Amino acid sequence: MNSDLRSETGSPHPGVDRLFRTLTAGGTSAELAGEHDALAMFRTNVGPPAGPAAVPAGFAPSTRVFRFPVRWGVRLAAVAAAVAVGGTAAAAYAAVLPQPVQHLAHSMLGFAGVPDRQGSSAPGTSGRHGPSPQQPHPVQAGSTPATTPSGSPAGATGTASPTPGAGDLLLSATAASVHITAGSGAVIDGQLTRSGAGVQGVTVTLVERLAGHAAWRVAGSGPTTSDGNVAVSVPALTANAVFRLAVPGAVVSPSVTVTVSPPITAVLDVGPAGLADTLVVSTEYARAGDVAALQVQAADGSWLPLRYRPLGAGGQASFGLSGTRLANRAVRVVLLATVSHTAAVSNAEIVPPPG
Amino acid sequence: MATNDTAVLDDALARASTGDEAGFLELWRALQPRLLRFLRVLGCDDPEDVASETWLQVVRDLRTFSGSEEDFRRWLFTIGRHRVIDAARARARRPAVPMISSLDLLADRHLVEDQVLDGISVEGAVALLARLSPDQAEAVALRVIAGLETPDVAKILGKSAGAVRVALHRGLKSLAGDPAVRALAGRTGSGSTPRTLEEVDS
Repeated sequence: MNSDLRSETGSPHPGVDRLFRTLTAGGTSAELAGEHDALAMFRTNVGPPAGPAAVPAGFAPSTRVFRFPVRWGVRLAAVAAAVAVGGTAAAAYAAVLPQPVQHLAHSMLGFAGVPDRQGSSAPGTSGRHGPSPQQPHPVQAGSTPATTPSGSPAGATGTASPTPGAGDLLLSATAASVHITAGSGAVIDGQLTRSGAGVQGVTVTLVERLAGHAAWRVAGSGPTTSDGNVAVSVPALTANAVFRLAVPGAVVSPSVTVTVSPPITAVLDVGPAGLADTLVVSTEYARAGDVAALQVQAADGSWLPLRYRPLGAGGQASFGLSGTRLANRAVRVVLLATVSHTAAVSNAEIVPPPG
Repeated sequence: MATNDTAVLDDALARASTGDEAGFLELWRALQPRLLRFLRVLGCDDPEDVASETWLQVVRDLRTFSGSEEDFRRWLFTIGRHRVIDAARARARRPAVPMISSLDLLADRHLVEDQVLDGISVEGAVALLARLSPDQAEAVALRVIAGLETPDVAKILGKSAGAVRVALHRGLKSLAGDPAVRALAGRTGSGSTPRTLEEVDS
């Protein structure tokens, strides 16, 4: 435990020390998975060294950070910088955000309150790109100043969508299934309404952010029906993801999270005379190093963990079983959840008695 | 943070503020895990998303930042905390997306408990800390995970230092009384030691 904290509060139990050591341990691979995106964000917003460090005195964080810019607007401000600054920074960020996303972001600059002009997103300018702190999340169009420096409506430049117009435009988003098997398709449904009535014929774009990544990318698009309904499919989702529907320049939906569960199969390989069996588990869309837990069914029917193994490169792990001690017991394997997927449970196998 | 870590991060911060990518990565690698754990203790639904927004605001203002590594940590975690509040407000204004409560997720929670007992994982440690009352959990998280001094924690939480010390004391007392935490004291932490069937069935 931190010695200062110990002096303040005493050390109530060694278990607390152990807990705190874990909480302050180095990062796990999952926690550090977004490094590439973070670096891209840094390149875009800070850029290369400009000379010796000039550290102005009088730093006062409270004057600069206690603001609540619109979350979507803030993210797009970074994308906007990639669009606006050009050169190597934009090229670097393009590796994270494909062209359609940059185009989408560009068309949403006004919505996000970001001026669309060269150098407007200069590094270190305290991020006053978003709307005022009092403005809510941009679920509702018209709640942010939808103007560019030229005063024209921010909108559907370069898209097939008719400009839906301002006002109380709302875009909802729901997932047909919020939990699916990894590798299967996901469908995001939404409805575009103005004053409660469906808006027809507007192209709605689906953007996604995969778990562990900071970057959003375009996943598909579709037109609204006469009721304002839209359904956009994602062919094969292999990792947890967050989705939003958007009409560029007009409205963005709340986020929808879809989690995936990797398919997992356990096969019991009975050894000679049934004395030393092997349970082999195979998965898809899980990563090497993800942890599989061997479980045995106890007398009361509950499943209890016996052993843990990391998955190998092929998404497989093997557990040796004692046919004598586990005879007639049901065993199965659970793949533990990670940032990319939820837990997954295999089929159960009965360990045959020896002989 | 240890003194050595502080010196290294002070240097990394100075380099990052001039646009040095390696300096920024050192900062990010050191603080991103702690930021994520802090956000999870606060019950954040999407900690990766909130963390990325937090860093976005940081990098945009980094060139004008002046202060020590400790000042930077205070700034970073303050922004993170505000982003969590922001996200909660946004969520309150719109219908929440229901998370499923399937059997496999239940099974995973069960396993987290077992991981805690066998050899604590980061996720398990965060889950244990999150069992505290919100006030206690936030105070302990800022003090331990963020590594901030009590007066700084008090400023962030808008409380007196005395009130924070009381929350810390009560939080640590609660943790010390938690059977899962008490069980940690004697564990080797391998997490892969097979149990006997007798242990399983008992």
